[in-house]
This record gives sequence, C-alpha cells and structure tokens, in this order.
Amino acid sequence: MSKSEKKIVLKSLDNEAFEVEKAVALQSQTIWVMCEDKCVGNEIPLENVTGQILAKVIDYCKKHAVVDGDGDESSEELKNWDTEFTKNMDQSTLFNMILAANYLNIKSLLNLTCQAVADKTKTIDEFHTFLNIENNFTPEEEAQICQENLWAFDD
Amino acid sequence: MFWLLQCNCISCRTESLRLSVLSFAGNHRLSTLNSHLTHSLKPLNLGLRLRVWNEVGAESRMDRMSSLPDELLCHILSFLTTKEAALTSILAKRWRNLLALVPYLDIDDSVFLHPEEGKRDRTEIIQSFMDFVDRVMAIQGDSPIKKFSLKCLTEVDSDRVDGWISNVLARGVSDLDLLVILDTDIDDNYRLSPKCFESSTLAKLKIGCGIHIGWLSESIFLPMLKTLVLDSVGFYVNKFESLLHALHLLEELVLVDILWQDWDVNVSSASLKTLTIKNGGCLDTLSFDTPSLVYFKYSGYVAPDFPVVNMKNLFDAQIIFFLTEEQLERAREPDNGDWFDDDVVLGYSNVWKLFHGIRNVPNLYLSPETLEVLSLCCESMPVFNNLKSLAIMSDKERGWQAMPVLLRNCPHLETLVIEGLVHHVTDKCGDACDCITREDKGRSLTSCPVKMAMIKHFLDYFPSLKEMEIYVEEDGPTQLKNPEVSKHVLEMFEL
Repeated sequence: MSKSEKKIVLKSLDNEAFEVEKAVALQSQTIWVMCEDKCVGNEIPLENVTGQILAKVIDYCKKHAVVDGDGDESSEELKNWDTEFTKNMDQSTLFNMILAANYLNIKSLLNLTCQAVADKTKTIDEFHTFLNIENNFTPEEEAQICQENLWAFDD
Repeated sequence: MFWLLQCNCISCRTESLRLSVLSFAGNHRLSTLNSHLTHSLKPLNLGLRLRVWNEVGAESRMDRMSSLPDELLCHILSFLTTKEAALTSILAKRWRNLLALVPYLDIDDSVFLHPEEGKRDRTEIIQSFMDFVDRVMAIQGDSPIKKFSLKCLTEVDSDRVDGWISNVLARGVSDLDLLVILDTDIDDNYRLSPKCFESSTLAKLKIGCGIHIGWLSESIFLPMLKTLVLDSVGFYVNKFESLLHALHLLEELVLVDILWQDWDVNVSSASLKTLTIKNGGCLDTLSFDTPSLVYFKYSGYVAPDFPVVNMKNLFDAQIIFFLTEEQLERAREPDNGDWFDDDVVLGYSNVWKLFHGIRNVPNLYLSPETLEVLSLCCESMPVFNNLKSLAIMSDKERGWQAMPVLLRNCPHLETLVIEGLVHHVTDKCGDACDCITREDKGRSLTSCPVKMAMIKHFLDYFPSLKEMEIYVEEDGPTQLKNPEVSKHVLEMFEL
C-alpha cells in the first residue's frame, strides 16, 4: 500500500515500541488529538497501556482499518473476527482492554469489550467470580434486596 | 481466600484507600466489617494482612474488574437486559444503585417472569415487578435517559405504565419502544398516553402489539421524530394521515400488520426516505405520496388500485406480493367463465400504476409472485430507463411470463441477478418465440429452449449488461451442475 510512508510509533507503558500506519492508529480519538496537538516527532507515548495490551489493540485497529478501507467487505466476517478476538480473553486481559479502549477512546473497541464482559456475566455467580466482586451486604440487607427483586430471580 | 474490601463512603473513593485483604481465615463473611475496617484499619488486629492498594504492582491492580470507574461499569451494564442488570444490585453495596446511572432501560417482563408456569399471574410477582420499575425510576431521579424499552405481557397497572412513560418523557427520552399487552383474553388494549405524541425530544417511537392509539387527536407535537414503527396497531386512515402530516422530520416509517379500519390508505409524507410495509393487508386502494422516498420495501397483498404513486427519488425498491392459490388460479385463467366476478383480474391489471410510479428506480427486487402478477399487465409495462440492477427470484410454482417484456423495458440494465432458474410453465412461457409449442417447454434450463434463447438474447441485447449472476444451489432443481449444460451456458457467455 502506498499509504505506508505515513507511519507513527506508539510507545507503551513498559517502553515497547510499535510502528503502525497512521490510518490504523487514528482510530483512537486520543491519538488523533495527540497528533493534532503536540505530536513530537513520530513517537507517541501511551502511559496507561502495557505492550501486551497495546499489541492487541493494534491488532484490532489493523483489522478494522483494512476492512473499512476496502469499502463494505463482509461485515459478517468482521463480526466473526470480533467474536473470536474477545472469545478467549481472560478476565484480566478484558479488563485491561476496556481500560485501554476507554483511555485511547476507541468507541467500537470499548463496546466490543464491554459486550464481551456482559456476555460472560449473566448470573449472580458469574458476576461474583468474573468481576471479582465480594458481597459486602449483611445477611439482612441481602434478604431485603432479594425480596425487592423477587420477580428477577428464578425461584 | 482473597477478599476485596472497598469503602463506599465518598470521602475514601480514591485509589489509595482501596484495600485488599488476604485472609486465611476461611469462608467467614467480612462484609459487616467493611465500612469500619477501611477507616480504622482494625483488620490488622484481627490478624489479617493488609496491603494498601497503591503499593501493589500494576499488574495485580489491573486484575480487579470492579475497580473500573462507575462510568465504565455502567457501560457494561448497558449491554445487559435490565433484569440482568438488576441482579447486579445484589452484588455489593457499590452496585446496588449503579443501575440508576445507565441511560438505557430495557425492561421486558417476559424475561423477568419466566420460566415458572403461572409465575406471572401471581399478584406478589406482578407487584414486585412494578415496584422494581418504580424503584429504578426513583433511583434515576431526573437524570437524562436515552432509550426506554418496555415489553410488558403481564396484567400490570396501566396507571403505573402511564407513570413510567411520563417519567421517561419528562427526562428527555429520545428512543421509546413500547409493547404492552394488558390482557390477552379480552380485547382491552392499553390506551397509550397522549403525552407520547407531545415530546420535543423523541426521535424514535415504536408502538407494538396491544396498544391502542385509535383515539389519536389533532394535538401531535413530535418535532424531532425521525423514525416511527407501528406494529399490529389498529388505525383509521384519517388518523394515520393526520399523524404523518404532523411529523415534519419523519425519515423512516415501518408499518407491520397494521389493522386498517377502512380500505383506502394513503401514505403521504414530504420528508419520508425509507418506507417498509410488512404484511400489507387487503385494501381497496393504496397510494404513496412520498416524493423524497429513497428506499421502499413492500410485502403484502396486491391492492386493486394504486391511484397515486409519487416516488420520484426512489433508489431501491423491493416488491414482494402475496398471492393465495385461489387468486393465482384466477389470475392464470382469467377467461374461465366459472368465476362470477373478475375483481382479481381487474385488480391486478392496475398493478402497472405502482410500477409506473417507481419506474425511475435504479435498483429493483421482485419476488416470484410479483413476477407472476406483472405478467397480467405486460401491455402497460413501463420502461425502466434508470434501472441498473434487477434481481429476480424464481420459483417452480410461479410463472415467468413477464420476463421478456420486463427485460425489453430495461434498456440500461447493468446487473441482472436471477435467483433460481425454474418457473411454472404458462401458456406464453417466455414469449420470445411463439413458435415453440407448450409441450416442448420445460421448466428447467435445458428443456426450455426459449430460456436458452432468452439468455443469449440478454447477452446480445444489453449493451450495458456488465454482470450476470446465476446462483446454483447444491441440490437445486436447475441443471447447471450438469457439465453439458454448464458448457452450453459458458459457450454462450463467450459469444
């Protein structure tokens, strides 16, 4: 591709450098603003994202940049790719992806990762385990809330 | 055992005060200790090891999904149904009222109340459901809301439904999706509050089954409404027309299973861009005064007359007519004296008016039934001067008679898509050549020489035909799989 001259370097929290096409990186509103404002040279430091996560974010952006560029190449195929992308992510990776997508302001990735968490948490137990939440209600409080939400529970 | 304690008071909502506690003490509840402990650090006295969050390595910190800010947790909740989201209120104190911050409410009692038989009829369950919605509304206060979807198939209190709808309208809801069936046994529909038709923020309104809006008055004020979906709603035509008339920005209209109370329907809107009619019923006349229309999808019965069809700017049309077997038989044998009235035939003979109205469309899709109906008005077939892409679906039970005329009347066709190459053999099957007797014609490609001739004809005749797609199903009845036939077709393509 002729666009390849336009590359920038993204530097992660742990100093890993990624060279990517500008079109790929600019899907991040945050990077877009940085480029507009104060892009010193061609390197953009991303202080909140580790190299491991940034690599995945870049994978996502590459996939979406290519498909967008090719006009409306099968959105079905892209959807399947997205599903595969988040399917086997563990809780910690998903969590970091959400933070990264939020920080980098990539709306579609944020939606995708939040949706993935929502898909994995459909019952109370899944919430407790997947989101690592500890119940901090007293038994009395808990009973009261259960009562208030009677319809919501399968009894 | 690894416990996470989190203080919920406002003063210590900072990262530095989040504490994680390693406990080897087994499975006992720490919850009651929570609020005191984080302040007084008493856990140390209990022999638990405490670590201040900030001292923990970045990796471990990031392992805590619940340390996400409220805004992101709410974003996750917005992908759950309200029922699932409601369940989160029991997770922990912080989550109890988190639902209140979600700007989308998707309340569906069929999800809540299943699967237990008779559960939805139990008074305390219905009461609990209504109380829940009330409570969510109360928690949300007057914070802005974007979408409110209510699917209610239980005998809820209609006053309370009114209250919920008023509540979200007052909070500036822009997308309202309602389906309320109060009682399936008796014909007692939920009478939608007139407030729904007086909102300066509503952009999308969907009114589903079981809702009565026949009373609709003249006072409609929906200046922002762009999308209106009406499903299984009963309507008098004059009410419908005055509703459309009042919606100056309306761009998309979807009419599904409308129960028309009278028989002459006119869809009139200067701004409408997309019109979808599904299961159009039996009417006397159907008119479209929609000069800005770009996309038109119709599926339903053929109206006997189309007095006005104004769709000058149409870009894409999909016409799927429904035909009963009886109508089909009548259509095929119009001269058969056994029929007492010739309504059907007369009726279909006006179908050209619809096609005349859409004759400038560049993209057209026709179903097998539509094609059969078209054959009844071959003489009045308009010329589709702008038609670039034509997609035809064929069916072995439906006639193809209109094909040659139709194709002759598409002089600038560039793409022809034929789904299926089989059709019912009618008297004038492919009348490109009358000298072939009916007996010699078959419904498949090789046995119908006319069609072979026709395909050749397409290729010779259409100077601008760029693409011709023929799909072959694995076990389909066409014979393109047969190497000889394929070869034959390929040879023709090389002509």
